[in-house]
Amino acid sequence: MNRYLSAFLHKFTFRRQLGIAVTLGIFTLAFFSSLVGSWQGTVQVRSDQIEQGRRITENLARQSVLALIFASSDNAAEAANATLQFPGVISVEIREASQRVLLKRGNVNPAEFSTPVAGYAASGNAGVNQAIAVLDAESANSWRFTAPVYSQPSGSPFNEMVVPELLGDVTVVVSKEALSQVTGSIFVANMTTSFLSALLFLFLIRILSNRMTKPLTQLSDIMGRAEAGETQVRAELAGPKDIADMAHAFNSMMAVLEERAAEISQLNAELERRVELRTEQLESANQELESFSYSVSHDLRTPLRAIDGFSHILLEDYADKLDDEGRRLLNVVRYNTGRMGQLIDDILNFSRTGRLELAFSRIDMEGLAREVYADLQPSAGDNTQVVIGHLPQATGDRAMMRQVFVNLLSNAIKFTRTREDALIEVGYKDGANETVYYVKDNGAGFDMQYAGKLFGVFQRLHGVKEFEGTGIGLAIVKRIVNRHDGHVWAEGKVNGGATIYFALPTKENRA
Amino acid sequence: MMDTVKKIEILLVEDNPTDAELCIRALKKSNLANELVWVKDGAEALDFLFGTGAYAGRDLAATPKVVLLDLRLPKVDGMEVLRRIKEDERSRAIPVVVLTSSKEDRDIAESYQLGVNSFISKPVEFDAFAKTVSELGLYWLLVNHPPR
Repeated sequence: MNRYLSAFLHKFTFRRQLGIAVTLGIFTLAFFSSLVGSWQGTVQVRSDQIEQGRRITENLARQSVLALIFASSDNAAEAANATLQFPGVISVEIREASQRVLLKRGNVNPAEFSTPVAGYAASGNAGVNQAIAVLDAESANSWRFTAPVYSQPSGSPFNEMVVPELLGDVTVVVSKEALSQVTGSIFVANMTTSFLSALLFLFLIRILSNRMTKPLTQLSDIMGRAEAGETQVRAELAGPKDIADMAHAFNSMMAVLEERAAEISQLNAELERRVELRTEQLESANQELESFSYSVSHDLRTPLRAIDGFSHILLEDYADKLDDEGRRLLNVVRYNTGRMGQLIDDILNFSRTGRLELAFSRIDMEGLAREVYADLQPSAGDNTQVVIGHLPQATGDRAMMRQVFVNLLSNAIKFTRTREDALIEVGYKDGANETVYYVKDNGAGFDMQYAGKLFGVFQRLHGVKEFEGTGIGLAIVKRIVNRHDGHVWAEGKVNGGATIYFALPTKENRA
Repeated sequence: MMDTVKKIEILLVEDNPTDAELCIRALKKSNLANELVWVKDGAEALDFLFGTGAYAGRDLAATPKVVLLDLRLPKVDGMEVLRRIKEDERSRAIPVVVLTSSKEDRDIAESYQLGVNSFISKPVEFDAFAKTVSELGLYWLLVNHPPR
């Protein structure tokens, strides 16, 4: 309950909460005070009306003396009519001592007064020989008054000792309508007055509370503007001391915040400037690298071709002037030019695998491996058995992945060339969030001690005479796999074959 | 034949004399170098093709059957020569073969954008080079039919 109330109150401002509490209080107060006032007024009016009713009844009793003495209905009617003139009187009855009704005016249901009012009846009996009216019964709508009628002592001295004789009695029924009317109007008047004063009071309270909460509202407005992103917002140091203190605290907080924001934006600008500078440097370095590789590609080849070409011309046109050693030496020159050409091509290839944009797609790795092997098969020995198992698909650049298989399979073919029963296996295993593909052979293998060198550029673990090649193949494999967020490693032993693994992230784990 | 003197079959645009010599030697072996003009830079190539500069007054009707174009050239580079040839109505129909040491993808792409007819990367080994050059000479001079 408390929780709901506080949740409800949280929706309103301090001023609104105060307003609700005060309004509720004042209206409750006004309501109860008008209720109490009306009740008090009603009690007063009621006793006045009862008193009036008694007087009317007593009056009737006195006026009925003659009528009862003479049993004259005319006289009785006169008295009764006079009584009926009074407001609220609804019925009159005059009875003789014998309880015979001499006159009855008005219509009252006798059942209405089935229960007599005990107190008043008793007081009625107490009255001795005097026409004292009593309230002898009360219903929801009316009162019934009764008074005995005694013969009146005359002014004669002879009659002084004569005891007044009971001639009969009179009954008057007075309606309570007037009372309820008066009660209603008292209640309405009280209510109206109370509520009017309550409204006036509330109006005053509102003015006062506005005056009191104005600095608070202003402060909260300013905070709202600051929150919305306005800068240089400062609160006025006005109003009560505690609010002024709060405004002061807010102002210093804003000053600190603005200082920090300025620092941050300055730092950001500085950072951006640096990034720009570095990007520029990087771009120019990249450009230099590109023009460098372009030069290598173009300018280094030309003289090589000249060396090779002219050695060839020499061999062709001057063969008869050269002895065997001369021809051998020229062939060494040509062999090394060819090797240098290969090195240049490899360097460019390696640099290109680092520069080319990757075009990602789903790759059927098994199909790719089979396709590559089909291309390489002519270079494999007849005694080479190749087993390509099921391979899961991968996401990557197909051309580059092809290069990976080309390099790995041609390596495997190369290093198993000396084996009688060469076996090359291509397979995979599932890793954590990655698929590990491998190419395994039972060829020359390598010493695990040098496993780290295997993937370096131009790193060779065998002599050129033994196995040809520049030592770029695995470096390219490593670079391509790294660019696919994967990694490579190798296992092997001398004359025990080698297994090259490359792991690629599964589709779900690709960033 | 009347026009034997003016007849041009190959325009070789090559600044490097050794490369030019090797190229001409390879063509000669296949008897394809008889009607060959060798120019040593891009500007000279354009002068020859459009009859300007040193070639002012040349009969432009004698167009080469093929232009062998190196990309790295002094003065006006090969790309620019190619662009000018393919831009000009008079020379657009002449087949141009880029014969260069470059294997750069962007060179290949740009050449084809400009309308090159063939792109050949010169092999380093002479045997392969000689074979390539003689094959391309045979193809463009004997197999291919240029517009008349």
